[in-house]
Amino acid sequence: MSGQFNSFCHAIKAEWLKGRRTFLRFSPLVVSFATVIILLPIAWKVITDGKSGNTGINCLDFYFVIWLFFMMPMYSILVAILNFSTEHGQGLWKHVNVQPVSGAIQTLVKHFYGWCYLFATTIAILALAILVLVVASFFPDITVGFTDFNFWRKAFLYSILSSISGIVILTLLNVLAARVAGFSLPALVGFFGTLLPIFADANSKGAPFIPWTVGKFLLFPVIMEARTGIKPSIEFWWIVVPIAQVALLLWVNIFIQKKKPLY
Amino acid sequence: MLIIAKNIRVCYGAKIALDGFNFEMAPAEISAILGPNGSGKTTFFRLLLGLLKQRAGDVEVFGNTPGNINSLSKIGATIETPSLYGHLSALENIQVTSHLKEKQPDNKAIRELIDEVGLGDVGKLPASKYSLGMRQRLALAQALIGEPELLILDEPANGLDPVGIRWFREWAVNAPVTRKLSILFSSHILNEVAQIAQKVVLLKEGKIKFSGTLEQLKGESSHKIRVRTSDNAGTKAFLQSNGFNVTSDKDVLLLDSPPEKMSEISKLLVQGGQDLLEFTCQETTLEDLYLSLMGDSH
Repeated sequence: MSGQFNSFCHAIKAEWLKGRRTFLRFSPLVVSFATVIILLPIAWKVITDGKSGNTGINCLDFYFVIWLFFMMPMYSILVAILNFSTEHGQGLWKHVNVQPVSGAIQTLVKHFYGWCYLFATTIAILALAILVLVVASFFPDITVGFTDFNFWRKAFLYSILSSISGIVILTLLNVLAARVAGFSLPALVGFFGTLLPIFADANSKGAPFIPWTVGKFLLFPVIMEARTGIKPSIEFWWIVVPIAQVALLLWVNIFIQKKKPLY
Repeated sequence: MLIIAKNIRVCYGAKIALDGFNFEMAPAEISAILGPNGSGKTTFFRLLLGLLKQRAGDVEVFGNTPGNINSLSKIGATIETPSLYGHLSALENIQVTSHLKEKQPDNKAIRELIDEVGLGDVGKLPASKYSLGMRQRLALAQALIGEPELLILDEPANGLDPVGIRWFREWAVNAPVTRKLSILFSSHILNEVAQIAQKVVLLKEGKIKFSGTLEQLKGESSHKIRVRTSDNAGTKAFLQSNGFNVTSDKDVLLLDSPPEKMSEISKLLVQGGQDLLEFTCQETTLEDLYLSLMGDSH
């Protein structure tokens, strides 16, 4: 087991070596762009009123709506494709597949690296947004009211969980698409998937079973609680379903890789 | 034995890529698979690495089924074109591969390896800027990472310039001693194989045309005696009546006979009143033999 874990850790290092330039090039752009958008309420209020009002809550709403709910799932499409196309575009699968690392570990590493990518970006945006809010609070005209930490914790965890569902299904779609066509298919599916939550009913029983609507399903009660103060009744299985979904998709991916590896 | 392949049959759909293929390789050997493009060389390598499965027959690599992690950990391989991450430098490419190996060298050892394959001056450039020859050298360095016991190289001299080919030849001949490894490589260039390999398999359309040592291959070559007289037809009939196997080739006659018999034959021809214009010994070259074994494809 420790041998497998070592193998996994080294494979992660290999992924980082392959992807660090792309990550270091794109992530600051994405983080800056998202932070600017999230902090727009401050700028807007300062410009229009000369005061910020309850900027903290506005920013948190924006963080939720803009990044967690919309940009992160969109970004996960890009991450999944970038992550996958490193080998695919250069015909490197055969090189990877003749190394002494099992197909299951290779598959898990690809997914895990994608999650880390998203996780790191999300943390960076959150940290930057909070930093700007803290700095802004020193200005007398700007009132920064931070909302409940509990809200942030839940919003963050559920968003990451929902995006993991997204990135797992996208990586799986990439695996399938690579055998048949190209990456346009997963990109299209990912894009339309990202739009699904806009139309999906948060109370629908089917919502947690669709990777892209998991976010709305889990997060909607949390944001309503932050706005209205009414505690929603989040049932345990609401969280179990997305986790089971991720596990199932991963298993399908590993099964496909074992049955017919990509070369 | 490092590799044992018995009666292998591999198909791509309805097309048979390898048929009745037998092969064995012992440690510290340099073996070559020689054949024209599409003869099944890469298919055999892919089979050994577990990248495809045979439809019939048995294969063992280091006593395991191909593609097994234990056997892969003892193999360094390049398949088809060199597999490199174009945006990474030589050092980074090798680092990536080394993270996937059981035995991982430090950066100093990797730099020494880059120097060994002659990329020391360009090691910091991204691989996408390399020529095919440089990519081959880097792919070789990647294959050597992790102290493999067996090196499988698919057309390793492809794209190398004459200096590079000579370098590879010298490197490969010494590698079993200096690096304690065995090499199995493919080529479609006879001269390259003849100077490196101890054992050779000639493949044509998935079938073995010859399998054995270079000495055995050379042993199959025969000597012919070239004879030209003022009356070739009469001389041919005279020699055939004396029990010689004679063929005509343009304006000369070719006798299947060892050089030791030249004196005896020349006396016979003179006594028979044949007007000799040319009488020489012609050795069948490896190339002649290869071409005759491979039929019309060359």
